[in-house]
Amino acid sequence: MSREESAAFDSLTTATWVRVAEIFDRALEIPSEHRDAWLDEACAGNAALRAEVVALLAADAAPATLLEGDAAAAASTLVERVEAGERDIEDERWLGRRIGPYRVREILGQGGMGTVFLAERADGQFEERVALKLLRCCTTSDELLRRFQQERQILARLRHSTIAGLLHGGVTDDGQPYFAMEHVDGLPITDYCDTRSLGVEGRLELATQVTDGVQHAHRNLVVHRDLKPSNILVTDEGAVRLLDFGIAKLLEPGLGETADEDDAAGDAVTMLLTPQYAAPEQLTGQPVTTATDVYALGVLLYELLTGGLPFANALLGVVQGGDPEPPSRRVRTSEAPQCGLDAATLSRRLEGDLDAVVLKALRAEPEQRYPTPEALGEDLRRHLDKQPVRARRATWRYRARKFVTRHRASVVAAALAILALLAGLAGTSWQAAEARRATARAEKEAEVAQQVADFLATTFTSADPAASGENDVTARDLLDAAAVRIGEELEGAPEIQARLLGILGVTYRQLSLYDESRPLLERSLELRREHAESDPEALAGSLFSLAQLENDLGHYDVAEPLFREALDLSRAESGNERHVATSLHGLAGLLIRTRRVDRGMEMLEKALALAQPAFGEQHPQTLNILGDLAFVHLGENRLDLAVPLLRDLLERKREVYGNVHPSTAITLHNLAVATLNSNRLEEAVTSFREVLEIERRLYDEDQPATAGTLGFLGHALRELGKLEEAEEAYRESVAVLRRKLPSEHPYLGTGLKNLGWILIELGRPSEAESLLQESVAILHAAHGEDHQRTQEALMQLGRAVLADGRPAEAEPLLRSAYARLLEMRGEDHSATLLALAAIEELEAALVASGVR
Amino acid sequence: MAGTAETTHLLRAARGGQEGALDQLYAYLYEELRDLAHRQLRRGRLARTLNTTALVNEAYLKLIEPERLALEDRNHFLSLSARVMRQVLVDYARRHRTQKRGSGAVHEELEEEAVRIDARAEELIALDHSVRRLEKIDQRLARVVELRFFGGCSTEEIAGIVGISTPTVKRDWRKARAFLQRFLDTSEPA
Repeated sequence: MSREESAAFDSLTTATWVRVAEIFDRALEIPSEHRDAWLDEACAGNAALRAEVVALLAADAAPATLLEGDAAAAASTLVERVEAGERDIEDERWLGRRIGPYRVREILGQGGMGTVFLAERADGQFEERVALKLLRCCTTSDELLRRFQQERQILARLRHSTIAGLLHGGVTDDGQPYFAMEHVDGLPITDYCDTRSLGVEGRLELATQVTDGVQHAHRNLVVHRDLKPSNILVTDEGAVRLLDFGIAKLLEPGLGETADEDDAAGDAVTMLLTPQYAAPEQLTGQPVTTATDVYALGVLLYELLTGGLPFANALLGVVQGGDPEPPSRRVRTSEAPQCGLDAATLSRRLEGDLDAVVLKALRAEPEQRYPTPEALGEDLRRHLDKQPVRARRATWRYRARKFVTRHRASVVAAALAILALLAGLAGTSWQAAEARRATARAEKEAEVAQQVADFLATTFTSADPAASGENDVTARDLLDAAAVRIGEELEGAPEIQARLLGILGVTYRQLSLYDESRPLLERSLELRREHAESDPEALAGSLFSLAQLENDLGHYDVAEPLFREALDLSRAESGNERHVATSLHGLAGLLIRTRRVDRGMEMLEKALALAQPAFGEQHPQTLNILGDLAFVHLGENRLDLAVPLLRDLLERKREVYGNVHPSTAITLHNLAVATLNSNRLEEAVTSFREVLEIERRLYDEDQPATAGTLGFLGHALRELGKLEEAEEAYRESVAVLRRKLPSEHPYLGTGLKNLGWILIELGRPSEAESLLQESVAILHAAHGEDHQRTQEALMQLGRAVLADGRPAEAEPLLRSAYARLLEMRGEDHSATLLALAAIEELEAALVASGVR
Repeated sequence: MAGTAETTHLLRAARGGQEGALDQLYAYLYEELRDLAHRQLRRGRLARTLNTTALVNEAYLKLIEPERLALEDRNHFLSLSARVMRQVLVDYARRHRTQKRGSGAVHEELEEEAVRIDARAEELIALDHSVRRLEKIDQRLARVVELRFFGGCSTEEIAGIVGISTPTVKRDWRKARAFLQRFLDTSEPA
């Protein structure tokens, strides 16, 4: 703006402004193409007024400025810079001045709570250079003061050749506390090793000095918590000195593992520590113990031996929960340290013992690490003495266990997770309804959605695959990293935090990662309870998510009150039938699973009645309720109710999902079972064959469920008397089961039993017999003797033996099976009847063979 | 630092018109917001960014016993916080100017970053100046700016505090923004 304009503004009177403002307001409502003419008229020849309004309109159309943002956010870097600048000025003030018996010479370092100066003895008594630590001036924080005094106290109790000791302490003339420590003139241990091209042995030698020092601290109940090369110096003489016990912790005497207030608050200390060297328990706010230092020693060893850190991204490393790449492998792909060996030789040198030692120190679980720094040091010395190390003994068992956990998070799961995240962005059915509901909230909602989107975007970009070395970043990693970040960075924004925690929690649940899911959902619920009045719907959503998790896990007594509370809240929110229907559906499922079928069915009917109009006839939510309703009828053998429901549902699913879709296949399968049970065999066969066709087109590989469908198809064909075709179906079923399930799985036992049965009918008893032997063995092992399936298999085995012409051998089998089946299922059950028929045959055969 | 009972009492007294109470509360709030900003910056390991609403809420929770407050008291608090936050941020900008003159700082940063910080400081000072001009000719508009930008208040909160409808808040904001925009646009040649 020109000077004239500025002057015009300065002289702008309230009276003029009122007119300008009024015309401005109205002008905004005039379409821009008519504005000029309208302004001419409105300003009635007052050119100054018109110019004023035009300038204001132009400014209104200008792109976003500082004002659109958040004031404090805009000033963040400025604030940081000013604070750093003030610290510098304050520190420089001390140069040349006296503190106690010392004169300040140089600034050595500036830290979170104070500054360390290089100072000299000024009283002429003797020559001494010290590191003098001064608490930041004008500190208002009691926490910092307490911590400063504690560091001094800790140093006072440590007397060891490897620890830079306390020399003197006091307060300055203006009352600032300080203390003087031995000044160490040395290099960080990693630099020392590299500048001298120290070999592996030399490096390990130094590491044992470090473990000695840390062991000394632990013996005095001090955990360092911040061990890293810059805190571990080596003098020209090759002596190690540990520095900076600034965030060290005093352990309670007699208690190895207590969480102090720092851990609980998780704030003061986590913001001070160095993430690259921090142990998983430090990053996740778990109790810090002596094992925490052992982990940091592991990181140090890793760095000394490979020249790099075990995890490029410590946070990702932690959430992955796995071991880092073994040092021997790392040195092959990255630049090796200056140790006089080429990569291949170094790799061979590290392979075996040293890999095992380093990885044992770096275990994610504290109790899997070396119990003490001393134990780690001993293993290093044992290696130097060419003795076998302890670490290698436990390795095999450990790795076997790791393998199992690692394979839980498969690639498929990762893909699902991404989808779920995206779905979460668009809003789950619950949240979408929430968003649509009130226009008054739309603005806030958009803001939250934007922040959620930004947050996820940075999560994706911050997990850089290149940064994490060879390991691909999976969606699981992203999820895990996001979970950590939500807790850390969104503390001031509970609404967004609660929502993101909810999304991640649900995603984990869908991946069956229940342990990961629960704390997130619980925290989300907690946050929403705190803001319950402002958003009861969101609270209901959180309750529902947690209820679903507990329900999945079979914790029905926990899930039920949660479902009920969600339902009550949804009902209180008038007019939101969707939420009521969803809650009813969830609760109904639980009631049915806990054998309160009638009450559950009643609820399902209600849920369906609400869902049809609220979601629509073809909405997945409606279809799910309908599916559950039909499934329960089918399970209760109420075929007259199940069949029409399933037909209706199938029609809708064919329309919504298409013919070739897993969901369509499930309904078709259920309908086929229902028709089979109502003895409409031809129809059942057609349906089962269609299910198989769909599954073949959907999946490259056989699914365990396919074996089930083949089995049912076999039954239908057998009932129709198409025995050869039935044999083929059963055979295929058994083949799938053998491929997809462990050899002791009871399904395989049942499949073999069915195949054996049909072979008996086909007159091939000896072929049947060996299969039935296998069947009996499996079912007996899986279910025990007192189980219908075991007894059925024994009965079929008896029939095979009988059909093979060995009635005497068959007799005990058949008689005992019949007795047990009669006892278990009653005389009208098909299995009992079949056994009875077999006994009649048996008796005839016994007579014929002259035994009777 | 004052206890919550004391500050809650001060807030009431200030609303009742006690001059000294307001000054005292202002001073507490100033110290608290600065302290919280300092902590907020050190807390975020990946994103070192402040958030106005979070700062004000945190100050509120630290200084006030919410259960003992009427809605008007909370409004009063938000209003005061916006004023204090404005002061805090503008003071940072001014201190930045002073530091630059004093120079001699050990800290080094990228040229680009330094230029950006300088520009931001000048922008904040210019904005503060413009809001003062606006205060002279239209006090309500200036208040809306203060509450929204410096106080991180929502449209609804502003409506409640100023005693106008939400559409009016939105209209006021748009006008005020246009008004201030003309002073902020320093890049435009004269």
